[in-house]
Amino acid sequence: MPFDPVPNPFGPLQALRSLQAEFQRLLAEPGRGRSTHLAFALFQKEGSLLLRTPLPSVAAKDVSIEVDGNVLTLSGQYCAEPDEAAAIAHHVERPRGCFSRTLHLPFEVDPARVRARLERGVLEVELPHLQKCAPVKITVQPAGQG
Amino acid sequence: MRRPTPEKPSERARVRPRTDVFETPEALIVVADVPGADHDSVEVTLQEDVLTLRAQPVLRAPEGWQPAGAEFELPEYERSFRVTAEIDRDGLEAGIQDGRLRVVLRKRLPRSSRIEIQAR
Repeated sequence: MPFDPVPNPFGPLQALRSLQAEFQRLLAEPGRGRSTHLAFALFQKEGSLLLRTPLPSVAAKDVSIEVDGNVLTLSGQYCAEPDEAAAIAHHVERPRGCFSRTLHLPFEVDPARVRARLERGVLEVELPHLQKCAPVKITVQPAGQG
Repeated sequence: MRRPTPEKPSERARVRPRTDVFETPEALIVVADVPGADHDSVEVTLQEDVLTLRAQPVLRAPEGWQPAGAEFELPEYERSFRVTAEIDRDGLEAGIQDGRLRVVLRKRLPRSSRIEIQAR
């Protein structure tokens, strides 16, 4: 190709492409904010992002979700098997202790509207974009008025 | 526990779930992480001396949302263990909660008999 087309920054798809590129960058950088093996799947719709991660054997009360601007921190603790103390462990593979992962999102999150649910060992967190100001419609006055 | 027919059996990876095995004087306890699975998508069998755990979790994309990248897809889970202890086949228990499958295999305890000493 002799030249690259210049993207229109005001084009209808540009914001979507930018957001998609940011998600790909987040998922492609293995070291960024990844302190454990928590794996994420992301879904999006207008004005909101949905994060899904498997958290088997974790109780809802043991999960902590913190939002600070565009930074999301997910942390918690795996449940210990109640029988462990009185039993001999022959084979141990399941994770123990704490987990944590931080994501730097390409938008600020509205913390008041964050929703999370843990079902069948899979956590889903809905992260709405923060609307800093509602759009205002301005009426153009004809000449000679006001 | 019944096993549903998979929607796309050839496209899903099959992995061994992370599993713990404990033993108490009375039982063997097998605990496996199968996130996304529920009572209807899990199968536990004990055939001869082989315990097999299978799970086919069904987790669809949320309605109205577009995928924006994924580091994981829920696979099918399958794992087998050879059980060396004598198991009471009437004392098998299995339950699933929060994506954790727990199977209890009660041991067949040796019968003890008390022998009375006869006085002469």
